[in-house]
Amino acid sequence: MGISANALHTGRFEHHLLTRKQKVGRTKKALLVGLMLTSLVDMFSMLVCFLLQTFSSSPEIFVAKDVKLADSVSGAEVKVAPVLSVAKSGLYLDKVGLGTVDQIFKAPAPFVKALTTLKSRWTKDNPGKPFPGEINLQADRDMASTDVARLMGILNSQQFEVIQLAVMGVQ
Amino acid sequence: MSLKAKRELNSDLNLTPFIDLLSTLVCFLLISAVWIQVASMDLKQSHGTDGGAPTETAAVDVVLGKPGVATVILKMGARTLNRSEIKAASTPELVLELQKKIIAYKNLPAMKNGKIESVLVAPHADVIHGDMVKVLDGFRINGISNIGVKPSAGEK
Repeated sequence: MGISANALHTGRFEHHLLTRKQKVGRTKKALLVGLMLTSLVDMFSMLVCFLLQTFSSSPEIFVAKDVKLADSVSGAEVKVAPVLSVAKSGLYLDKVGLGTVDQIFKAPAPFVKALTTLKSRWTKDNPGKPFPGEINLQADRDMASTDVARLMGILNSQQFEVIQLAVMGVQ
Repeated sequence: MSLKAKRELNSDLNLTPFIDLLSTLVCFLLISAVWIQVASMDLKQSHGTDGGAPTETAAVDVVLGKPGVATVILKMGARTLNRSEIKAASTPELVLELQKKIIAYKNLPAMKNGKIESVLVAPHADVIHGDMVKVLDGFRINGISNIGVKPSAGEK
């Protein structure tokens, strides 16, 4: 029994293939190669809706691999500023390693120098504008809070007074 | 004109450009999707910039002791209005107690014309950063946005 193209409600191209196949080899059964696109389109539409809902145009900051951020319910949107990551493995200013936290506390000169360079670069790029002193501080949640506070003290001494503590936003 | 010569009307919808568009959109949105919700908490380390404020401004100093313990000091200018110690079993309980304390301070007669503008937290070395953030979070929920951290409560 042959497959009727009309019974299958195929599209024009599939219809053409089907009738040609039936004309050429009358003894052979026609093979239907039509792809049902409805479910594919449905899936794509749902995916697009979901991704559009979760889409965010706010700036994102790089979170270092070994930094587990503390949870917060009152977190605000992240602002674009230099990122200081503090973990047990070390201290990174804009992804540049500066040594471990203990090393920094013993000899803070490289850290201070990096901050000064950052500040002078900003001043050079934005002449006539007051330095905002903003910095994103990412600290691992298991770190001693005194270490984080001491680092904040060093940041303050270098005029980085608006510290944005990176946290994990929870509802 | 013969009716037999009439051509069939093709009413099929061409889905190819639609699928192309959807595929491109899916790829773009998947690449730009944010899976980790990083937020920020503003800390203002410098205080004392509100000299021209119309109301009297009060400040709260919180010394975080060993986990669950805190000393809260309410100050109005140079005067200490209240000092109390809170002992709780865990950090979440301590956060709740601190929130209650802030509400109690707001209702003090001495605070009739005053407003708690800032909180300065001094953590102990035994307090981990995650717990300190929970405490700061509690103050922000209570409407205090001018929060600072100072390193002086004690070393290990």
